[in-house]
Amino acid sequence: MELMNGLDEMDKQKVIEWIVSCQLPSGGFGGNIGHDAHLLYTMSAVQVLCMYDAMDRINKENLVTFISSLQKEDGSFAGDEWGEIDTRFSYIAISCLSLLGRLDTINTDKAAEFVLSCKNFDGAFGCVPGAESHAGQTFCCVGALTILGKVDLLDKDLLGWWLCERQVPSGGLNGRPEKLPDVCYSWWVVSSLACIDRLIWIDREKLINFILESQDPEGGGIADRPDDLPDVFHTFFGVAGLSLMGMEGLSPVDPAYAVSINTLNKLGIKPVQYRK
Amino acid sequence: YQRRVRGQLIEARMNHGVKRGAGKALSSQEQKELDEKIAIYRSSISTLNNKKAEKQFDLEGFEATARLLEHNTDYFTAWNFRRECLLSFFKTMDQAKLEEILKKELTFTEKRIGQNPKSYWVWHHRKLLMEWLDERKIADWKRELYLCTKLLGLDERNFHCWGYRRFVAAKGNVKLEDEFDFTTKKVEENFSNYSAWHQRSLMLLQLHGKDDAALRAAIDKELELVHNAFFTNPEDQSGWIYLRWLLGVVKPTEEVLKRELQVINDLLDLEKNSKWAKLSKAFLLEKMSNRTDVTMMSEVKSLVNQLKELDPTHVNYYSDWLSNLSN
Repeated sequence: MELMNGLDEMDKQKVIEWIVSCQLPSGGFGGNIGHDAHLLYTMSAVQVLCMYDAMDRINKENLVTFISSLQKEDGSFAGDEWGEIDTRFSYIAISCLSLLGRLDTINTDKAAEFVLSCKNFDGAFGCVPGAESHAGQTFCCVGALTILGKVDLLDKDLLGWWLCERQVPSGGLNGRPEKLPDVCYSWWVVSSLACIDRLIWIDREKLINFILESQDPEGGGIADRPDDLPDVFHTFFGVAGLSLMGMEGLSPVDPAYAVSINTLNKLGIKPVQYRK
Repeated sequence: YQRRVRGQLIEARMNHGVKRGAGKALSSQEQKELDEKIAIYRSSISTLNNKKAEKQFDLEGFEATARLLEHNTDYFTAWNFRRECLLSFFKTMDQAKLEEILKKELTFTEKRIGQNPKSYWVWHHRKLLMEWLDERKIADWKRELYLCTKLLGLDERNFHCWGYRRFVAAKGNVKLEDEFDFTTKKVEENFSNYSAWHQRSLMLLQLHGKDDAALRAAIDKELELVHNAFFTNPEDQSGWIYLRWLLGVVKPTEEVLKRELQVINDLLDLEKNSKWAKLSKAFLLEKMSNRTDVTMMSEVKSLVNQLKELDPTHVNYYSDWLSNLSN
């Protein structure tokens, strides 16, 4: 909504109150009231609270402790106390703590080391060391390294090539070789490319067309591909992807943080520069 | 936010491959059945929340989570509570009863994986379960490997399963060579199996990383396999992406590079406009010339210019490459 300059169409206070009620004593957030805390939902809470400039409404100290305490000795992050390790969680921890100005609470060198250990033969990244490259995980790793100021450690030409080869003849992007295109990769692939300044390596017009064709002309919203049922996730990824590519009428989004440049400016965080 | 599509309650979640279009209206019998399911689901949520609040990790709560997870494998809070119950049973139940519950849990997770083979939560639950069984020395890793083989037979690209298989192979002390043979089988079944090629990239180094001669011999065999792949289907990108890596694992000898160039040229004789062949030839010549051989570099530029026409989607990639060459 923020990217479409429509944030005022929703009830800000109600959203904030509901998010606040999802924070647990541990400091983390669950997906809904009464749910357990997990980094996945904590990420969303932090992003929304940043957009609304409402971080003072929650227990920030507990939140920081929750996130930082999930770091393991090898630098990786678990999603919660049940110990699932995944580079998604590395990204979330690094992104959240950066937005909160508290990266000092984790070992950033080790965090970067773990992320880099998930790099594969093709230059892209998987969930854990040894896992197959996937565009979603690649966004998490590239985003994390970008936020930590270490994106120059990557072979950008090799990675950029793997990423731009996600574009199929229909113009859509897939997440791995030989898979079907999906609008959500308009975010994960394109933002990764932007972070390494190779966004121009995909055919912008063809992708924009694919995203627009995936809209539901009756009910609105964007689906994973043309003629499918839309949902909020694909709508976000589609809109964010269009914003990254500089589509007129949309507020610019940052490729590393997935929040608007406006929000980053308020936080004093420098957005990623890239050729459009 | 709820929508009824073809009688299914579609909550606000990520939908993949779900077609738009009028959901068929439900008969009154179907509606009644759906309403009953919803009632059970909602009452199970209440039970779960009450038990959670009271920290009552008992059979009733345990069973309530099953009712929820049967419909929604992503209800992670239910998985968490379910595990709290299991941990409590470890302390309170006798050996026989416990083993029975754990066996049932294996079946339960198997069914959930079948229902939703891409749910991170289910795979993690099974991993934890197997670790608990392993601690009690009753884990059947052979069976787990067999289940992975079965599932990869149905969906050879399921990365959750490949990841779980790596975990199982390590725990079950499976021979690296056997796992390598498994990937050979998968690649020979389908050269587009990028997941299998990826697994090979790991194993080549695990098997031969410390022995230069053995590694080079293994790379030569890989190159042969890759040649099979791209002569079978030159449009298949998996083998080509793997090839690029193979030519960089160790510094190839001039003999190997010359041979590879010959093979690609042979393919180009048959497939004059193969993007992947031209692209790979350009990478190869760049490597061979070390950017110093003028004839080779001029051929690289020519190929890249041809690729701009052949593969217009990536025209900017090729333009950047050319700019780079001029610098």
